[in-house]
Order: sequence, then structure tokens, then C-alpha cells
Amino acid sequence: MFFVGLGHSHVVALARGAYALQARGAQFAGEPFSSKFHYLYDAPYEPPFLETEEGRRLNPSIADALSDGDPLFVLTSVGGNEHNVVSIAQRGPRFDFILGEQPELPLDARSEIIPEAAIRETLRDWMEPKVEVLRAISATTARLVVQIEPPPPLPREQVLAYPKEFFRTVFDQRRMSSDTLRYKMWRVQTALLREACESIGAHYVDTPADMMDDDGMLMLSFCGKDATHANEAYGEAMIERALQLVARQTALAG
Amino acid sequence: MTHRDHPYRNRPDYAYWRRSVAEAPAGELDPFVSGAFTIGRRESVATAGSCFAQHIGRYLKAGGSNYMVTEAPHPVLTDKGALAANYGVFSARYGNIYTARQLVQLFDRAYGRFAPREDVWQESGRVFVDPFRPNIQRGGFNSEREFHLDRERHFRAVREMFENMDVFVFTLGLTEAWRSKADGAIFPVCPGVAGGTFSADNHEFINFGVDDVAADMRDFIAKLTAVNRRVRIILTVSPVPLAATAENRHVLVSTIYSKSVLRVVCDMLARALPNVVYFPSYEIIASGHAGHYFADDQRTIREEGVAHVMRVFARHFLTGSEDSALFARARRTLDVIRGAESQPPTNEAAALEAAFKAMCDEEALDRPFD
Repeated sequence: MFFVGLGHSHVVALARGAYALQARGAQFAGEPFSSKFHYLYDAPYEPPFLETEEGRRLNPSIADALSDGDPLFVLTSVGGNEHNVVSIAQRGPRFDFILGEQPELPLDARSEIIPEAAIRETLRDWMEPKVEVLRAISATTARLVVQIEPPPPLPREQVLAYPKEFFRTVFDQRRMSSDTLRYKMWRVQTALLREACESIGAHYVDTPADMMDDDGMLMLSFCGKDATHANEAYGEAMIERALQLVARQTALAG
Repeated sequence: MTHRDHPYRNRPDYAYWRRSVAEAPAGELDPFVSGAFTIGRRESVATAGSCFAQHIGRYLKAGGSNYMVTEAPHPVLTDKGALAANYGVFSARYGNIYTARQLVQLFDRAYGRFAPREDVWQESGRVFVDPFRPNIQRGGFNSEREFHLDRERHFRAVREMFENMDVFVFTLGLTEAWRSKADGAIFPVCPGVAGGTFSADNHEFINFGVDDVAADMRDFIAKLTAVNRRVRIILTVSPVPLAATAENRHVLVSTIYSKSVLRVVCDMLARALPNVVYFPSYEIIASGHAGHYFADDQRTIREEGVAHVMRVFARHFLTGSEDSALFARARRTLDVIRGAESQPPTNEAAALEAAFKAMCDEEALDRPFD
């Protein structure tokens, strides 16, 4: 079995995970599998859409990658860091919001409380360019599309440890948001992404609870070497979940 | 007085239909004659009212006026995110205020003088709707806690607006409304339409008359001037027809009734109160004599009509707007906004996004790809 993977930065950990599994001889439905990953920030895939006489089209390089090698399914990891862009640091007066799914989570009462509806639409706005790519991928291929949930936010100590240059140049690290706020923001983003997948018929692989600590942060054993990305172990775990999902789907179809 | 001398002799051009209406160049009909005052660049202008009032605020903001927004969006929100929650549509997030009674009750609620019994509508699941601004944000509020916290902030913003604005532009829209039988609370939208559940036992229809609207407006103006002595008030009547009437008659008949009542009350108030003027946006649009400004649905006001109204408004009220420079700037700004697919992120947000992209690139340096 062969599958193809495409995505933005989080796809790196997934690719490492997949290749590690393959190297160890991991199997899918009793047989070895292989994969090929494409990094959508690479030159051939940028920009993701081209304006042609027939209208706006998915970049042909992306379209070609979807069918190259006759994959069983297409694994995607589009976007995923928008919640970090919006909330990793506090810009302006400190803010917080109530997560409707878990209204009991701590709230910084001294900060400005923004309605979740406004947060949601803001994230939807930030996510739209990447979701548009996912929509186009789904519309272009007849194969199963499996979107991997972006990893939960990394714990504060991890964010501040890697790489310090990033925080010195972009914002005052004293303005960093609480883990709780960053978790809530991630939850809103993942709900939007799941909703987008449902609307286009893509499958969605979520993060298992045992990969998160009590505060909803990605456990240190799955953190990468920077402020927002996961590592190869995370990639392995998520690829295995994706393969299980595809096995169930193909069994149902077959 | 001879037979050649009479009160109509030597009247100014504007008093004559032929000179001021029939012969007015296209787009130049200007029925505003007296009562103008200058709104200084630093003077803050707040707006409220029905749908048409949104246009006034939009133009004032885009034209560089000191448009007062006391319930501003947090900087973390994008323009789309803020707009989806109706930030900046009016000076505070009260949504459309269609009737004079609704305006008085907003004042009273903000100052803790009126607490309607039907305070919040809990929809299915965890959706809570504010009966007095049911469309203020998509999906309502996610919890009773969020609802109360937001409304607390909203009322603070409303009080701040009332107490500090220099000019209040209020557009009266409707006379028809639905109210609570329990305490007379006026709902901007009939319960059951955008939230809540309609019940004939709890809700009733009312169509206000001239005396009702005049009394409500006088009540509001008295309360407002008690907290803000310097405020000047510009009243307008929305030219947007009723979408539907609850009276057992044709919607056009109901529309003319409502607009007539509102127009009469504006005249009464402007004649009687020194800090109130009437601005004839209704006449410019609805009379049909200044141009055909209704869209195909005969209800939506075309942008040209709004532009005409605001051109006349700017000419009479805004500093240095003799040549409509401010108006022109507003039009250009609005054109840009309409043309933009999305608003650019703030510099800081853009820097963050770029930094993340850089991080992504760094991540990919040790690439597992072919």
C-alpha cells in the first residue's frame, strides 16, 4: 500500500513518523506500506492557486502529487499554526474567552473577555487560505482524504526554550499567553477544521488524550525542537491512527 | 400688502418646487435648509437606530470623522472577526434599534433602571441569545456566563457613549413592535424569529402612534441630557420600508403610516427642543424626487442613494466639507474596503505569521522530503 502526504509545517513530523514506521517494517492490512510526502511551502507548490483564463485553479504540481504513484489515500496536514499566531502572545490589552465546550476552564477575570463567536470568526479568517487548499485537494482527488489534527500547543517551558531568538525578535516573552488560553484557542481552531472536513467529506484524525498533559498541552515527549511543532514520535502515533482509520474505511467500502 | 405682494413673494429658491426639486441637477437635491451646526473634527459622533443608521456610521468612520466607538473590538480580532460580532457597526454593540421605546429601554437597562423579566433566551444546547440584540453575533453566546459578562461590558460601553458623545445621530425606523406582556419590554425582533419562542400568552403586538413615539423620545432626550448636557441630537427617519407588517393591511400602507408617524414626531421635537435637528435623509431617498435609489427589491437602498444622503450631511454638518473632500475620502475608503478580499493583519500579527513561517522553513531544513 502506498499513500501520499501533503501539508505545511506540521507535515514534517508526520513524514518523519511515517518514514520511521516504514523503516521498522510496520504494516498496513498485513503488508508493508510506503509513502511520499510533499511540503507545500516548497517552490513548486507555491502559490497554491493559479489564476488562469478558466479561473482559479489548484497549482498543477499539487494536483499531480495527489495521484502520483497511485496512492490508496491522501493524508493532509494543512495549516495548523493559526491559533498560535493569534494567541501565543498578547497584543494590546490582555484578553481571554470562555470556551463553550468547557466553560468551567479558568478565566483571567482581569483581562478583556471576548465572545467566543468573535474569536471563532477571527480564526476562521486566518485559517481560510489553508482550508481553501484542503477544499481544493478534496475536490481534485477521488481518493480518501485524511486530515491530521494539528498538535496541541506546547507547554510554556517548551515555548520559551526554543528558540529564544524567535521571541526576542517578534514579541516580549512577558506577553506570552497562559497555557489555558492557548489550549482554548487550539480547541476553537480544531473544531473549525473538523467542521471544514465534514463539509467537504474529508476524514479527520484527532489527537488522543494520552498525548496531552492535564492542561491540554502536548506532552513533552512529543514536542519538537521549537515553539510550536511536534516530533517524530508524535508523527508515528498520528500516522498509526490515520492508518487505522483508513483500514476501517476500506473495510467498510470493501 | 398689495395684490402683487404676498407671503410667497421673495421666498428663497428652496421654497419653490420648480426651482429646488424639478430643476435640481441629478444627485444634487438638497432639502436641508436650517438648523445645521458644525461638527468639529474632534467632536465625537455616535450613531444608533435602524438598518439605515449603519450607513451613516460607516460613512462617518470612513470619512475621518471622530466616530465614537465605545465598544471597540480587541486588537486580536481581524476585521472580519470583529464585524461578524458586530463591533463598530454602531457606536456600541446594541444592534438595530428600531423604535423610540427600544431606545429608552436601552438607556434604562444600561443604567440599571429596568431589568426585563425575559432577560435571556436559552436555545437548544448551550446557546444563549440576548432578546434585545438577538443577531449580535453568529451562534449567540456560548454560556450564561459569557452572556452576562458581555452584556455587562456592553452596558458600560453604552453608558460611556451616552455620557461622552458630542453629537448623537439617531435614525427612527419603525412604529410596529413586539413587547412582553409582563413588563412592556420591547423586542427588536419578534420572539421566535431570531431566538426565543413566541407565545401569545407572553407577547403582544403594538403599533405606536404619534403621542407614544413623541413621549418616548422626549423621555429619552430628558434622560440623555441629564447625563450629558452638551449633546446635540440629529434625528433622521429611515427610508427603508417595512419588511413585513403585523397589521391586517397591506405592507405599503403600514410603511407609509410608520414613516409618517416618525416624520411627524421628528418635526415636533426639532421645533420644540433647541438641541434637536431633523436631517431629511428620508426625503432624499423615499420621495423618489432625488433619484431612484431603491434596488430591485424596492427596499434596499443603493449605494448611490446613501452617498447622496451623506454628501448632503457632510455639506451641512462636517467641518471643511464645502467641497465634499471628506465625503470623497469616505467613498474612496469604502471602495477599497468593498474591493478587498480581506483586511491585512496588523503589523505585529503579520510579524508573528512571518516568524512562524520562518520557523516552518527552519523545521523543513532538516527535511525528510525527497
